[in-house]
Amino acid sequence: MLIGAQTWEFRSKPAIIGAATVVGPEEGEGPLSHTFDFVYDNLEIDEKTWERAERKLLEHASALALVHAGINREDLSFFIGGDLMNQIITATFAARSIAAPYLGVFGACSTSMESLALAAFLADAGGAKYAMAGTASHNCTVEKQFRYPTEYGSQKPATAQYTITGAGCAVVSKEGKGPRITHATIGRIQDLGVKDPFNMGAAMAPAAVDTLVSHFRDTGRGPEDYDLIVTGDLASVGHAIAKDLLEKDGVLMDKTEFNDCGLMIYDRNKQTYVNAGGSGCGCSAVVTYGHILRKLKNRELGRVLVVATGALLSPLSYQQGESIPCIAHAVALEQEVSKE
Amino acid sequence: MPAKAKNKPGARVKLNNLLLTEEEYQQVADQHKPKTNVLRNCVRAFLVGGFICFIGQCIQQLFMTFADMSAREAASPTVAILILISVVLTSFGVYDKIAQWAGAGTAVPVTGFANSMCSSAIESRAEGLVLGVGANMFKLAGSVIVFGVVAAFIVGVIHVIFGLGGVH
Repeated sequence: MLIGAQTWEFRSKPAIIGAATVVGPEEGEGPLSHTFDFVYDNLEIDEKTWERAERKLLEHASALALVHAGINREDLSFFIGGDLMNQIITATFAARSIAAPYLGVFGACSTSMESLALAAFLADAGGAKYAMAGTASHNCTVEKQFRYPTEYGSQKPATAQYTITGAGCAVVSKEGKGPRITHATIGRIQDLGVKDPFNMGAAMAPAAVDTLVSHFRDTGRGPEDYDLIVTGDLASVGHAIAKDLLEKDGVLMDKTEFNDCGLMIYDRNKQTYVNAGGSGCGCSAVVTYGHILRKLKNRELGRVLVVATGALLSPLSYQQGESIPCIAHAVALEQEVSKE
Repeated sequence: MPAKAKNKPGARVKLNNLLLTEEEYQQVADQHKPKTNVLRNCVRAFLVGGFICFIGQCIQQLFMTFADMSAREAASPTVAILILISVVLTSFGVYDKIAQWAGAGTAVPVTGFANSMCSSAIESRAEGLVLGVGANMFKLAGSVIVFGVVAAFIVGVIHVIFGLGGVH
């Protein structure tokens, strides 16, 4: 049900009945390691190529999510997935073994919440009994496709972000137990002329801010209505800019806890190689489906807004000197029995 | 409509009370950008680059002392050994970590060139020997060769025209 300009309100409040997160070794060293369902001890994920490794992460996470949801593969109505690879080969190839009707989506790092919003919409509207949303990213596939070979010795600036290795999947259903999805705000493309692919936080911050403000406007809510608001992966630079812009707009973000998945997943003091923080479409997926769902289930958090951000560039577009169009999608989550 | 950035929809931040143009946003973004420590980078590049050259000098000296070579004869095997060291370090995943610290210090010497080829070759191995390694090995190093040849040509032309001195 559309409310305001760009927000869906899910009347039936579909539940995330099962979710799973699978990550690589570096995320396993981070502060959220205890919230992940499986941590691989090698970056190769026991595979021969980086692309296969990324696919395996998604296959593993999807299989675990089905187990956690307590449903069979055949029961799954739809799988909605995406990733950062050209032609979204990770999600598509994983969908081969998931074997459910499949919708491929691309929103760069915002794919996590884009797919979750669509899954919730399908479940709420009666379009799916069980819909699974899933995304994955691998540090080395992304380095290979977007930047330099992984072993190439180039110095990365402090604004650069580190693509996380991990996959997250969530099964959404109208009936069943689990944290509820109440709203989704679909973002507009924002492009403020940032061209530097090593400063994606600055490129994405306006998109995050625009979606947040639109969400508040459409729902009549404010920061105080949420116990936690997390942006997808703006990391240290982008998150600081977003905070600054919101403050200038008069949005009182100090009334809530305002954090960022890219900052939460790594310990930046110890894991200095991540520079500004994490990124990649697995980033907001594993933080949301791991850490945040856990806290909603434990009732440590009541209501959370996840604003996943995506930088929609391609290696071609930045080589041709184009600026980076960005987007952000927000999904509001609640613990099972509303505190209202 | 001309494809001017200002005409792009969304080329401004428009919130409830805030309106920023592209230029104004750039200023906000720059305030939050961590400063690059150029001096520190230069010192590190100098130290690491110099150290690599020092190692090269030692290898050359060894060839001259123990293999009875002239400085000129020893140059080629010295470069070959430096390349080998760089390739081994790249293959073990160490070179890129040193480079993050050293910056241009590891990029400029011959070891950086070897690293760019070796890393491209390793990365493309999954796509096969011909379409992968063969086609991509010079992905990064190719432009060094192209512009090296172009620069040499221009210098050669100048040399011929003006009859300037040089090594014959």
